[in-house]
Amino acid sequence: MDKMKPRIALVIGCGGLKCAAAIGVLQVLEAEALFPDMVVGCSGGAIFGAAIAMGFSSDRMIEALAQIWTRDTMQKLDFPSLAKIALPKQIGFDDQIGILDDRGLTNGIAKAFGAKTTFADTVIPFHCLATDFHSGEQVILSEGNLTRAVRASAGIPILFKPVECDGRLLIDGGLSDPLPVDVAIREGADAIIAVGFETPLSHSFSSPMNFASQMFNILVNQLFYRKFAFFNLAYHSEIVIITPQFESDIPLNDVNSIPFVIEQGRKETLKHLAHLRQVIASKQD
Amino acid sequence: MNMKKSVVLVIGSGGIKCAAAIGLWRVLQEEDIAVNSLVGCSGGSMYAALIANHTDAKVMEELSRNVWTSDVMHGYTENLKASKDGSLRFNERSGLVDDSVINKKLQDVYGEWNFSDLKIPLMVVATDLLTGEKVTLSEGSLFHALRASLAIPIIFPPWEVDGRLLIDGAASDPLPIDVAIQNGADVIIAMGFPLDYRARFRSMTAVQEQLNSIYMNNILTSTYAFYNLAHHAEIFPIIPEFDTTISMFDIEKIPEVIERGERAARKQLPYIKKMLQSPPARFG
Repeated sequence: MDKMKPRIALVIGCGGLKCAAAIGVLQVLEAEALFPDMVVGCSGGAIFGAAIAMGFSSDRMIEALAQIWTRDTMQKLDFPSLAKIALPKQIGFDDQIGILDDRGLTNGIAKAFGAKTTFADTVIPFHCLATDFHSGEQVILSEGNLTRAVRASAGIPILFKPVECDGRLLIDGGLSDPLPVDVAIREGADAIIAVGFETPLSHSFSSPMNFASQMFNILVNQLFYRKFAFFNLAYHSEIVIITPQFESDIPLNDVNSIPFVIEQGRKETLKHLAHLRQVIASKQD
Repeated sequence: MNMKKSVVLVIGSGGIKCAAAIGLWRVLQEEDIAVNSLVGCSGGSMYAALIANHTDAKVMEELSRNVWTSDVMHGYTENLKASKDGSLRFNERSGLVDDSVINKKLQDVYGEWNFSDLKIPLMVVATDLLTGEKVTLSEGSLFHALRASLAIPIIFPPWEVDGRLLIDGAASDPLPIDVAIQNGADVIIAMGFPLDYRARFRSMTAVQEQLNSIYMNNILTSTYAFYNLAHHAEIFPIIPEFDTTISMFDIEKIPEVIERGERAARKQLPYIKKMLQSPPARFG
């Protein structure tokens, strides 16, 4: 009888543009003939997760990224939202707030993956993670329109409007689960390669907004550490966690850093390769 | 042979809801359950300090009514406006509130106290603003530690202790169970407060509060999940339930909050007693 082939999951956590490190991770895995049997993505990681699940080459992924991360995506403001923020009482405030015009992001994702593409069209099974804005719960998206799911997962609150999906208002998956290893476990993965990102903190506090973003960054890191600790404790033998290192944060509009980010992903993966081979070998017995 | 188990009480962040700790304290006193040490975070650190001082429950209730009043927000509206039009420059020591009111209130109660004066050892949790790390304070002036642990960012200016700028302990850990474990707890009674979610949003502040609540509640849930699995100690979560929203300065609801704390404590009481009566686990 043939040896059982272990099911390998690749999980890509939230981390904005840093998630491009997943391209470097994949390059190393492919060179080792290790192909993921499922992909899970969260926030920025959902964009790269979807690209991997669609079977894109590294070059095509970088191209897709260029379609999504344009100047407009990161700079064009949403004036109705700004008006609501400035004059909430006069204009009326609601939960549809995003200071950036999200058409660039939404159309970019649609262009990269196809507006009508569904989860059923992916080459590798794909799951992406969002957060319910009203209940704070983790929401796993595994079927239906792919563009919509990726857009929901990548919906950094305040910057981009929440997205309605099946009657729920969804925001960035990072708020409930920055590294959704649990989804891979639930889907029956034998070996899990989890690419997670710490958010480097700021040392500049020139406005109340800086305090707010520092607070959110501390919180997302704390949530990340806890999930990390939990999965190490619960399923340590199956999980290899790769955390590409960045000394300072990569701003969302810093597309020139992408080659560096990919390289950091490669470097960090190479460090864990021996461990990864060992995990996979142990699952073949 | 004395084989008493070490009982540590952890009181998490939760603003005025932390007054529920008074109800918990009443139950523990009535049942003669001795507490060996205390851990407090943010609003919970004030109550942990009072319990550590063996303050009478009635006095604690009175002090609660004095602290949670809207004058602690002194200057907020003007400073918010000034920060928007640029006339108020922000730096790492800034906050929108003039903190002289909260400082005076804390000084009046805790100003003379040092950690070493307390009858039960106390640890107060804050967060390093620059590194995001959890910082445990257990020596020196109690006022400084409490002020740091309570420093909700944007609202209150951070507070410097031993050369580090500290903010609200809730940013790094809304319910610091690990501090209790590091201090050799056998039994941990952990009172935590999930934050409320909103149904309607009337301003940007409401959206920010919602995001904050989502993060903190997910951190709280994963903290419980982790320590349940790790099982370093017996942990009894005490989560008071409230039928109505308790807002920051609802001092009229303090008796109700205390009662809810008592009720939640009574629910866990049979299990806590059973655990304290059974012989301690022997290792090695």
